[in-house]
Amino acid sequence: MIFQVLLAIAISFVLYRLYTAYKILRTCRGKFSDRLNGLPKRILVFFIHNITQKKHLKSGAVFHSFIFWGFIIYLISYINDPLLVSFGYSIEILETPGFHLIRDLFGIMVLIGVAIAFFRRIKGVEYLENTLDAWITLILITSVVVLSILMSKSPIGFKADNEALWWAHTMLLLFFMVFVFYSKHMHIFFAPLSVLFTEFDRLLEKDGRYEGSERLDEFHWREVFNAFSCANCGRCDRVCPALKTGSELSPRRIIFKAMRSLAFKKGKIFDYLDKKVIWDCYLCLACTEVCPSYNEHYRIIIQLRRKILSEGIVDEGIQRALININRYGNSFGRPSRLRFSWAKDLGFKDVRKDFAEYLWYVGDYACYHPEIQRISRLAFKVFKKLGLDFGLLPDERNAGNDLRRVGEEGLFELIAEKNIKSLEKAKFNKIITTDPHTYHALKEYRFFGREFEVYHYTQVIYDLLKNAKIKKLNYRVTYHDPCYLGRYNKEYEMPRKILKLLGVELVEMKRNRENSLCCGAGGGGIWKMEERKEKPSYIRVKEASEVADILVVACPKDYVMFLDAVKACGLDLKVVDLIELIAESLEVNE
Amino acid sequence: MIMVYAEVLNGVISDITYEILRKAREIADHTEEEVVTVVMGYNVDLKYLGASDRIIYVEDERLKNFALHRYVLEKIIDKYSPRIILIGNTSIGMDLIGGQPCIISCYDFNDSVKSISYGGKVFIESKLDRGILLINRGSFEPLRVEKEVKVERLSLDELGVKVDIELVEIIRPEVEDVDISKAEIVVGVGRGAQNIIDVAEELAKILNGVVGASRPVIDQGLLPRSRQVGRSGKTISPKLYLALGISGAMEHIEGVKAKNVIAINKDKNAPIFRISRYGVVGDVEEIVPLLLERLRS
Amino acid sequence: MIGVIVRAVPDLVEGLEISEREVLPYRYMANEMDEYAVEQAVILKERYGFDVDVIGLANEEAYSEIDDALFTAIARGVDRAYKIMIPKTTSYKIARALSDILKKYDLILTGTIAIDEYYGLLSSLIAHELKIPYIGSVIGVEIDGEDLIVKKELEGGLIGVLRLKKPAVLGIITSERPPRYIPFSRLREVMKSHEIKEIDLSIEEEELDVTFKEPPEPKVEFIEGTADEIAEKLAKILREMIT
Repeated sequence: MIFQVLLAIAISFVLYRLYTAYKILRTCRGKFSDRLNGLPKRILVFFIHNITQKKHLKSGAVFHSFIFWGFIIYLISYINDPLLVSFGYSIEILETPGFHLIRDLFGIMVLIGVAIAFFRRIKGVEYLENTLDAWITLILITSVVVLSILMSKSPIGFKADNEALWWAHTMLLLFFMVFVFYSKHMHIFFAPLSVLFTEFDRLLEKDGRYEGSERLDEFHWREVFNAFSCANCGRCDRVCPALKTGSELSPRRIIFKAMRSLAFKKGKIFDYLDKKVIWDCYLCLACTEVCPSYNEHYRIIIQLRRKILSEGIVDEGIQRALININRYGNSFGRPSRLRFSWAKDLGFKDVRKDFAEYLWYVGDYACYHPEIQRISRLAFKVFKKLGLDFGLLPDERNAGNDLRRVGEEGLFELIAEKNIKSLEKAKFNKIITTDPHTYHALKEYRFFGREFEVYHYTQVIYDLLKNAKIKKLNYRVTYHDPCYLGRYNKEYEMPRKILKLLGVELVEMKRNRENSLCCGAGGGGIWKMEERKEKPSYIRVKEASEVADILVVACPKDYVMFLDAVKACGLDLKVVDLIELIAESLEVNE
Repeated sequence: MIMVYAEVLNGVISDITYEILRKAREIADHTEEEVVTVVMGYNVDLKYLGASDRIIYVEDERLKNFALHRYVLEKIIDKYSPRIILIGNTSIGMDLIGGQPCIISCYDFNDSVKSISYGGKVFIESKLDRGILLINRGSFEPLRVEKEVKVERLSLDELGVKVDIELVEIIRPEVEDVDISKAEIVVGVGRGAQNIIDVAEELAKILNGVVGASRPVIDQGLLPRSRQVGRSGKTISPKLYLALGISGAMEHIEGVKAKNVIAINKDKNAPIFRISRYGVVGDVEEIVPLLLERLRS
Repeated sequence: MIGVIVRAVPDLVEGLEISEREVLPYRYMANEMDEYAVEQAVILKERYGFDVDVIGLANEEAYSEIDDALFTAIARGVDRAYKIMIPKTTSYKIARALSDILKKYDLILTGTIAIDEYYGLLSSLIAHELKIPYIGSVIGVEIDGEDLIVKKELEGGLIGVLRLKKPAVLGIITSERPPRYIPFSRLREVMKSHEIKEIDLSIEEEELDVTFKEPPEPKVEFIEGTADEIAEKLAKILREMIT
């Protein structure tokens, strides 16, 4: 009887907390159905990702999986005893020594996991906060499991039939249940749901929040949900290139401190967060990629950027780039008529007049940066040699990718509309691009009026290369995955397949594919006037030079950043665009 | 009559006055006109104005305030009807125009007036029968002549100028660490080189010179104002001026009277190349460190 | 009340077509110093509560392009926007034509000089027509009761501080703080909710007898090569020059 009363009290605490969370989410923008599209797929993902602990294992958090799996088994067990048992029912099979054995084995696994967790906290791990609630939780888990093994009827259990033990165990359980919901461990409930509400791709929809969000009712519920599912584990901080180079920007603090405080204490998010650090982010998505709770930090950061941009708080270099893109269609502030001066003598097809299968959308850096113009010319000749039917669009403008990432949503919309108008008048079937930033932005145009078939050039020329006469290259190279090809669009393999075709020896850096370390150009990084002394590109080139002599890139901004970094660090490393290797292999000269 | 307005700041006649006097003298000798120099101020040393035929001196403590000069000049022009009035194209000079016909930013004049506009991209030739010419600094070599010249004194009160503008004070820039206007070698830092100011300072050190900067770099607070080169900064006359990432806008070039200019800029059409002996079209951030290395060895 | 004048001038980045009798820009933009004048006016509004009008001046080609700058001014805080079409004429005639409508302002701000000015300085001429004081090269403005306290940039980095009475015309070089960035979404809102009133002014036309030329070819010697080669050659030249 007492137990039912205590259970009722505990459950009401939990329900009240859930109700609070629900009210908070209701205050936010958006409908729950926003993240319920494709429900069958979501449910599948929910089960598979949660049960296999996919992300946790990938980031090396085996101990967490141990504890999690144990939790599932224990949860099943507790449905029976003490819950049903206290009402006079019981599920036979869950009382058998056999089941108890299974539970005990999982219990041991949990204890191993907890031991590792204890050890980590004692040793100290970067960005792992040693909070009281973490210690309490670990102690609670340990005691609950130990007590359950003591009372277990399995061959390895102690079969203790003590009422005191039962009460101790049950009280600890009830306390744990309530404690979970009032601490960071509410992620136990919310993180699995976070998986259910995950994003299917990283194309940002049009949401009409031009001036961003700072109050609770301005954020979308999924953005606030991040705060509930965050476990304060610090993995995001650990992979953040800004933090690695001396910034104060902490993705973890944005979610766990700022967003959480906003959710429970209301006000404005900047009451809990410094505005200036928002500009340090490169929007590289490393934090979002690594997060085992499927949090989407970058969506929040974009809202914050929109807000402070609307207040006029913006780095001067970024401001200059925005004004230039608006007036001249390129971030360099160079005349729009000179965009294709690099291609004048190459004789290109003008898709406004003549049809071409592919429109090659070239991009600012490839058109105006003197170093990259050379590579653009090579690419042009490579495409011609491979027999690709392509043309250029003379009134091409900056596709707008970084406008969005720095928070100039209104200008992005304007430019997208202008570009779509130009594109609709042109004669082509598909778009091909050599610039990952452009690649991503063009894909987002589907939310702004028109969906185009867009490819990165590696996705198109592979088959053509297979049938071409190639000279094998005898180099030892490593490949850097660009953020906008890799994490944003999940294209990791095509460039590697091409490298394999070319015959080079590809040695991977430790941080490859979705763990790639951003070069620091994104999110306006390459435009900023105020710079920190150390840059992520410096760290990256040092990493590359440890495994190979040649660093292959597939993005013009990577090329520029790494070229500068190699000089700054005084390394022997050669920075080479994939196109240059392809050109060499096809014996195409400048 | 060719009238020359003598620009006075803190009781001292500025260099530009003597530059203008050279040209005025040259023209006047040719057209057989009178060169009349107008000086407004207090306790001004007229010693070197010998190139003038006559000096009109309005001496009054109140005329330390250059804001009143516009009105005084108006009265004087009314009284003496000069054909041409020559004034320096400076902050003080530009305030004097009033309603007179005026050509701005002139670099030469004979039968026709030659001036520059459109940010240095257009050169203009025009005719001015009567009016004011604002002459750019550095257009002519200064002509200081120590000679006794007839001085006609006018009284401010008699001229009847009654304007309620007060000069409260003149603020000096921070204590000068270095006087770049006296340096033999100057390394100039422009917008294109503002990320490598430390490298520029190293370069200056190795060359035994000083670092100066263009206006945008100073405005951002990257270097003290005492280092500003240009119309509203200092005029430098070094043996060598190394212009790094400087576009060469009119405003800046007016402060540069170097024997030799070497410029590095990304833009091959940058106006700085117009006054350079040697030019490099390239990235300062790339080239200067390499240059420094070479000079060290 | 403050009136700010913003002029449409050639966009030098996009380039100019220069022939003997005329200069044809490819595009127009707002005169940079006039934009600083707008910002300075907004600063004064924030500090002292003035009402601010902005008046755009543009020739026929630039008449629609000036709208952007005027709407941006409103987005920055200006209260009303007007625009006037300017024929081919001189600053002297413009100043004369503007004098009537500018009479009502206590303070008129504009850029000290426009990049395409070469005959007369509009800022100074307006003051002359209205018979009020003019201070140019202004970098800061404060109000003290009835008086204006104006900071004027002089040569050699010196700054003159002047006290004068309203009404006056100030030629601005730069504002006390850089113009704040206006995100495009804000601009679009302003475009929807505000109107630019057109003022019909009959301004006398005048053609000047001038010839235009491209700048002379530079006599500079360009050093070419790779960065290393350039550094090598430069080092050699420098060594020769300083010994």
